[in-house]
Amino acid sequence: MGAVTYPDLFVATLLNEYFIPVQVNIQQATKLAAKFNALWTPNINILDGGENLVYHNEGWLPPSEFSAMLMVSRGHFFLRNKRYEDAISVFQEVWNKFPASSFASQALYYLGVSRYMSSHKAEDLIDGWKLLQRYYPRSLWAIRSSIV
Amino acid sequence: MEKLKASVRWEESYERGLERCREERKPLLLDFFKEG
Repeated sequence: MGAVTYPDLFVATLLNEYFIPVQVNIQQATKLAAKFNALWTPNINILDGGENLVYHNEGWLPPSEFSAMLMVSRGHFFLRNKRYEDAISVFQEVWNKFPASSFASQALYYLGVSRYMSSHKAEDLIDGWKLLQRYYPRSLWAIRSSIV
Repeated sequence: MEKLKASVRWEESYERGLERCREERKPLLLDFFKEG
């Protein structure tokens, strides 16, 4: 990640502006690695202030996919901390900025969830998931939403 | 054309990162890496 992804201007800007980025050597920080069950690297864990894991990703990603993943993880951070309007805004932004990304379908899935959690209206979830099924019909997230 | 590059401002202490996470109400990104 250090060679290609982290030096990318957009990735670095996202990390510096919206996250507290912490990097530890898995071979030295053995207790911390065990705490998070870290086995393989790169190994990205997104936490909230209560040390709750809100998102996890393993394996290398190029800058564009990593940027989309960062934004989705930020959406999850907001969602799990009941900041629904912030979550809605971020998931919407992922779809707007990275429609071709492999993370776009997940963003649409959780956009529907975030809207529902905010409004408690079933139609907000259903409408969101119909959009997902229309734009990413073969995605795993569309399959997960096919209950509606 | 050369790609524009930037530097990530890494915290090297997990504990300090967690403090800042709480103070600044931002998510903490914990990256485990291996050298070599």
